[in-house]
Amino acid sequence: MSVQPDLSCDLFVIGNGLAGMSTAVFAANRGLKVCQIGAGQPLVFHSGLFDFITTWPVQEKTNWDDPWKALNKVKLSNRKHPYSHHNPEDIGNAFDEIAAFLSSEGLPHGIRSGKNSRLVTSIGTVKSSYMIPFSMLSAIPALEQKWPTLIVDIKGLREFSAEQIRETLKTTWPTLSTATVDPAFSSQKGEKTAEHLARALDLEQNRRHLADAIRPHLKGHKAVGLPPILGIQFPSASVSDLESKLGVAVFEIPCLPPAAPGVRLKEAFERGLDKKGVVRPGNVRMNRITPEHDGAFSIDLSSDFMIRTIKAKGIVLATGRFMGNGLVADGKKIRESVFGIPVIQPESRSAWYNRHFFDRRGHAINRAGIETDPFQRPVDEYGYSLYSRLFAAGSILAHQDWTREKSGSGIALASAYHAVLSYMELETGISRRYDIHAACTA
Amino acid sequence: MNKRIRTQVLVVGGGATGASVLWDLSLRGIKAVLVERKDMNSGASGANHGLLHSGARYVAGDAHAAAECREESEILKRTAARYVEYTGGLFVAVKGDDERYISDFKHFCSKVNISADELTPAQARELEPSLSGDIIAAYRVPDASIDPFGLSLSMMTQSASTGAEIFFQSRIRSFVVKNGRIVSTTVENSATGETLDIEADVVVNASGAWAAEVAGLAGVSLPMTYSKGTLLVTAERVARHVVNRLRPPSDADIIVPGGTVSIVGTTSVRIDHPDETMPTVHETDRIIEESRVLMPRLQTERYIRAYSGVRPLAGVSGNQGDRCISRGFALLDHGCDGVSNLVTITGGKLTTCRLMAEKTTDLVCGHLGISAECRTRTTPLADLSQCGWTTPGASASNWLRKKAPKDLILCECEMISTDIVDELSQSLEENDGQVSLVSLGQRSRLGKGPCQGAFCVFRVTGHLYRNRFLKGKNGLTQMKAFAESRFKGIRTVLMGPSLAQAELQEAFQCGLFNLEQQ
Repeated sequence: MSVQPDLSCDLFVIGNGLAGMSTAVFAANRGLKVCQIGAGQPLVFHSGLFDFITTWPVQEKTNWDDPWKALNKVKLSNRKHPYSHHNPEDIGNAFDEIAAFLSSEGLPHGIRSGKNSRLVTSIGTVKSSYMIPFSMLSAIPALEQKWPTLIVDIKGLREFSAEQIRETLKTTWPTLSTATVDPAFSSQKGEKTAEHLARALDLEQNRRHLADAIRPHLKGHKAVGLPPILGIQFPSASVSDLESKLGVAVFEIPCLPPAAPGVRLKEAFERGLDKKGVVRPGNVRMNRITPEHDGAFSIDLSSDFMIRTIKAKGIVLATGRFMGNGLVADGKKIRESVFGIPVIQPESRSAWYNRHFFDRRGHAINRAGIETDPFQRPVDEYGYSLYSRLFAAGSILAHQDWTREKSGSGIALASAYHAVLSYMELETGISRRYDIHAACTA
Repeated sequence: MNKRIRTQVLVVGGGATGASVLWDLSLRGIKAVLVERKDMNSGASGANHGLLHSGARYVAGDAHAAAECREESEILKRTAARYVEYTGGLFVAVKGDDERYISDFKHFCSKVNISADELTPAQARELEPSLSGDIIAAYRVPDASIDPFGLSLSMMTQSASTGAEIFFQSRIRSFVVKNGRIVSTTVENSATGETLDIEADVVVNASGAWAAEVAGLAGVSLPMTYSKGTLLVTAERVARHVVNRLRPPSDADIIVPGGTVSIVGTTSVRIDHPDETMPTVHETDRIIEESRVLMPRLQTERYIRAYSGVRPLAGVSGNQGDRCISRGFALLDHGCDGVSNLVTITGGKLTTCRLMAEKTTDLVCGHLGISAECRTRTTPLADLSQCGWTTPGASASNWLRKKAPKDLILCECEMISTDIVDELSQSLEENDGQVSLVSLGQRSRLGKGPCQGAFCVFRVTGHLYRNRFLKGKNGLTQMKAFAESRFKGIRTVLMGPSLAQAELQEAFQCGLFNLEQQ
C-alpha cells in the first residue's frame, strides 16, 4: 500500500455518466484543473441520441418539433424544473461545446436547423431527438421522404430484427424491405454482440465483406439501414466508406443498449479528457469527504494499492439516480448517497409508482431528487445551499422526468455547463448574466 | 350460425382443478372439452406457493385435510415426479411462539401418519443456515415444492393428445338451459370475438374463484367468499427446504423454494370480488416484517416480484354445507338447484387437485351412466419437453446439456433460448393460433429473472417477428401488455437495488423507444 502525495485540483467531479463527463469537458476547456472519479460504465447505456426536450407536458404527450418552444413551455409551467435554471443561450452553447469536443474525437454529430429530428428505432417506433450522431443522420431524410430502404439483419445479433421494423412500419413506410446477412468476417458462432461487430468493422477489409454480403440484396434501394455496428473508433469514416462501396446512403438504427453508440461515447470522452489532462484515477473508493473552512474539500481516496488525498476547491456531484447509486432507497425513504443531501420525494412508498407502468402522468419517484439554488448548488430543507462550492448536475436533479420528457442528455449537458460556469463565477467574483426569467418569456 | 361442437363433458376453467378433471376424464376414455376465460393457471393455480403439502400444516386444526394432503402428496410425488422437487420441509418455532402448539405438534402428526423428526435448533440451523438464531424448536417433515404451471400444462397437453379439446381466451357467454338441463354453452374468443356453441352431456364448473359467476349464468346461485393472498418472490433461493412457522396457520409463515428462487407468503385479506388481485405496498411490508422473524435475511433480500391469488371459499352457507364431501374442497351437484347436468368443484388446495378431480369425475360418470375406474392414482404424467420451461433453472440445464450452436439465448437471466421460444410458439399456434409475450410468459420463465424483462422482451419480440409469429404493430402492443403484466408484480417490491432495474427498464421502454406514446 503506497501513500500518494496530495493532489490539488479546482473541480472534483463525482460520476462518469454524461453529466460527469460533460462537466469535466466544460471545466477542462476553461483551464480548470479537474479530477474525476466514477463507477462502472454508465455511458455504454447511452443510445447515441442526444435528446433535448420533445414531450411537454408529459401527461398530454404533446410532442414538439421545436425544442426551444418546448423549453419555453417548461419554464412557464414548472419553475422548479432543472431547465428553469438555465437560459436558452447557455443550453445551446452546452450542446455546441460537447458537439465540438466529440467531433474532435472522431464522433461528429448533427443538429438539423435547431429542431428535433425524427428517426426510426430498432423496434419500429419513431423517436424524436435533437443532436444526432453522424452515422444516423441519413435516417432522418429516409424516414421523412420514405426512401426505398433495405433494412439489414446480421445473423445472430439478437437486439435487432429487420422484420420487426418492416412489419411495424409497413403501413406508413411501404417501401421498406429486409435482408439477413451473415458476413464472412465474424468468426463468432451463435450470439453476436453489436460491440464485437462494431470493433471488427473498424477495419476496411471487414467492411468489404459486409458490403459484399449486402450488395446482392440491393434492388433500386436508396438507402441501407443497419444496426449500430459501423465501427467504434471511426464510425463516420466507416459509414462513408460503406456508402461508397454500396453506392447508396447508409445509416445506423438506434437499438437496445449496451451497444456501439454508447461505447463510442465512453471511449471518445475518455480519450479526449486524457488529452486535456483530466486526472481520472480508476478503481478507487471514496472513503471520506471533509469540507474545509475555506469552502474547499478534502477527499480521501483509496484503491487496493494506494491511498491518496485530493484537495478540491469545488465538487460537482453527478452520480445519477438509482442506476448510478446517486440515489438509494430502502423500503421507506430515498436518500442521496454521498452527502446525505435532502431528497425531494413522495410521502410514502405507496406513492412512488402509479398502478400502471405506462401511466401517462409518469411516476412520482422519477421526479424525486435534489433541488438546487440558481447556482446549481444543492440546497437544504430551507432552500439554502449546503456548501458554497458543491454543485449538482444530471439526472439526480428533482422535478424532471427525463424518460417521459425525452430530456436526459439535455439536462445533463445544461446542468453540467451551468455548474462549471457558476463555479467560475463564484471563484472569480465576476458576475454572469442571470436574466433567466427574461429569457424564458422572450 | 355459430360453429358447433359436441362432447360428453365440458370443463370450465383452465387451472390445476380443470386440468386435473380433464386428465382424469381422458384417462377414463371420456370425451371432453376445456374452456378457459384467460390462460392456463391464470387464477389461484398460478398464484400460490407451489407447495406440495405433507399435511403437517393442518394437523392441529383439520386432521382430515392433513390426511388428504399426506396421501395426495405421496401420489403426486410418484405420478408428477418431473414437476416435484423433494425439498423436505422444516417447521420451526421462535421465542414467543405458542409452547403448547409446539409440544402437541409431533403427536398430531403421528395421529395422521405424517413423519415429523424432531431437530435441535442447532441441527435445524445446520440444515438451513439462514434461519434465525432465535429458534426454540424444529421438526423435519416430507414437504416438497411443485411447479403448478408444468403440472397443468402437462395434464392438458397429454389430454389433448388423446383427443380432448382446449380453448383458451374463451369466456362463457351463456348457457342454454332447457327442462333443467344445460343443452348448449356459447363461448366467445376474447381476441377474435368468434363464438362457439358446445353441446355437452355434463358441464363441470372448475372455475375456482369465479365459480359463482359461472354458476350464475346457469341460474344457480352459489354463495362464496373470497380471500386474497399475496406472496413475494426473492431473487435468490434463500433455503433448500420448505420452511414453515410452527404455529397455527397465519400470515407470512411459509417460505417455499422453487428452483432458483424462493416464495414467501402469504397474507389473507377478505375481498368482495375475485378480480381484485393487485398486491399492495402494505401487504408487501407486512410479509417482510413477519417472515424475517423466521429468516432475518428476508429483511434485506432483493424481491423481484409480488403476486396475489384469490382463495375461493365455497359451500359455507347452511343449505350448501351438507353437499360438501370434504372440508378442504366443495363438490356440488346442482341437480337440486334445478340444473341436473351441472357440477361445481371449487376450493381445495393445489396438493389435492388430483383427488378433487377423482371425486368430480366419479360424480360425472354417475351422470353419464359410465362405470370407469379412476386411473390418475397410478398413471404417471409423461415428461414432455414443452411443459418444463416454467420450472426455475430448467431451461438453463437443458441448454447446457444440448448446446446446439444455433440455439441462441434470448433471456440470459432464465436462459430461455430461441429453440424454447420457437417450440412454445408453435404449440401455442397449433392450439389457438395466438402467440403473445404474456402467453409465452405463462409457459416459461420469460421476464421472471433479475432483469424482469428489461432486455429479453426486446430480443424475444424481435425473434418472434423474424420467425413470423408476430405481424404488423402487434409487437408494440405485446411489449406494452407484457411490461404492464410484469409491473403489476414488481410495483410493490420496488425498493433497494430493484429500483435501478426499474429505472433501466423505463429508460429503454420510454426514454429510448417511446413505448408509452404508442
